[in-house]
Amino acid sequence: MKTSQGNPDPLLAACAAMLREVGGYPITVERLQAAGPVIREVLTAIRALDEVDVSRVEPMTIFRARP
Amino acid sequence: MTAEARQSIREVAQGIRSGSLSAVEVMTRCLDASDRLAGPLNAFASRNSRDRLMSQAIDVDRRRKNGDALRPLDGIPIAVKDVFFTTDLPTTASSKAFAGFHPGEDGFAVGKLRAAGALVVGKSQTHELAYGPTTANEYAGPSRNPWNLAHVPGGSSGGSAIAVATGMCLGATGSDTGGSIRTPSAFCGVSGLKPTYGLVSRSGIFSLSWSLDHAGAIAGSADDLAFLLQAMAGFDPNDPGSVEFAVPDYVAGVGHAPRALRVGVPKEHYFDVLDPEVSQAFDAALDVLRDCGWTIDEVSIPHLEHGLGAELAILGAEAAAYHRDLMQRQAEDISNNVRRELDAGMMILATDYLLGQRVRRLIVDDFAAAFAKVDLLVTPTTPIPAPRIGRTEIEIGGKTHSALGAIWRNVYPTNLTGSPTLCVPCGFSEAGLPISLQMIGRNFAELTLLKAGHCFQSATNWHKCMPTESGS
Repeated sequence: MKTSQGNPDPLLAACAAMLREVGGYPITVERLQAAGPVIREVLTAIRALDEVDVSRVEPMTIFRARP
Repeated sequence: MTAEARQSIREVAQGIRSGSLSAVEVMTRCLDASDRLAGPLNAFASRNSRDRLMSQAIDVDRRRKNGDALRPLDGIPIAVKDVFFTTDLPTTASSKAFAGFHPGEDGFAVGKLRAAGALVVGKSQTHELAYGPTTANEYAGPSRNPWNLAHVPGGSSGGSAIAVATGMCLGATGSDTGGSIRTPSAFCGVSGLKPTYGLVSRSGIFSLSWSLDHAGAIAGSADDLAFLLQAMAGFDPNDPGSVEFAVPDYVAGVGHAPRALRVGVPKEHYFDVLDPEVSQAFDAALDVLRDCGWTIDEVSIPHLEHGLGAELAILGAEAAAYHRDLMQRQAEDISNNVRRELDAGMMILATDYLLGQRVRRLIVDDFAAAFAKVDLLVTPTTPIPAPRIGRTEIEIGGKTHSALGAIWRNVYPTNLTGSPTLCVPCGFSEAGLPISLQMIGRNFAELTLLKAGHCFQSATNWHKCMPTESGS
């Protein structure tokens, strides 16, 4: 099986669809399930960034260390 | 631990230069240690042959006898993390996916170390693809902590820290994307330096996350690190992050005590999860810094509470992008614990990656504001001593925490800021595992950091302790 069709976990089902239909990166159900806890942890940490006021930082930032 | 004092690069280099010590003796001692210990500790992915290394050492001694001027690291055995390209040994990132890969050239930093005379003993094990903090490598087998074989050595530069801790070499290279030089240095009881982003070139090194990756070194002391940094630092047009900067004389300067330093202890983040034994060792380290005549004040880095989200967004997206072709071609050759991280990285939106970069800038600004008030920040390097291999949770004060989360929480912030960061041993737990102090400096102020580390190590002996060969 190459996709997670029928995956009862809505987040993983959405991930499978996104990887297949948008990302050009289809993966097996087993791989997606193995990545599931990491995906959840990463997305939880990233969504916490929504609380941060970043308005004073240009979006077109490129990281450089300045002396 | 043994009472045997670790020999410094300065002593050994001077001994070889004066003829009181031969390069052959130095190499023999390192290779003997490696023959005894590298296997049980799983320190190396590959090693140069004894014959080859001994003939290189013989050549150093011959040149000295001929009256040739020796270079700063002539005859100094080093290990090179298996993500740095080397001409003479394969570069595999300790992964089946790169088994037998010969890049045909040295990475820029390795080339500079060889040009300074260093002799490459072998390629040290890394957490696969440098993507993890334990070096519990599913493909190559777990590397082991020399202070207790049942515990992790830290990672991803675990093999480098093991090799230095046990005297298989006098110094080693490391790379650091979320603490990968400092975590193994802390857990193995040695000193590690993540230089400022851009000071040491990453060209000829497998990337993990290019805007967080730093190349640096692991050694027995801050003084030793000065020698390695002197050789490795310098502008490289082939690294887009490289910065043109007049490299100071670290070797000559490290022994000069710094002027009265203002030391800052961050209020936020670093002490939220903290083992009581680490807390005690950190307090004792602060007393040593006070005895050096330095002042200690609290500082604030408010946006650090969002550091994890920024680090994960950037690391995950860049790593998945860097390894995308590999994952589509031969994902089955990458171990489960790394493959799931790379698959998860594919789910990070580009807009979230850029949000992470914007939050990163706020944290950089917080650090800059702190450095307007102090010269150094100090924290525990890791909030816990090395956990047992395979342990996923730890308990502190009746609360359960993720072991992996605890391992890297104090080290990843300066991958975001690019600040130079030194770690030095500052004690042992009751179970005999090393504890480490982290010192963070202003960008490109490595000399101040090394001086501070040297001052600390002049007042303490933790860095001289070596593990017993029984590892218990």
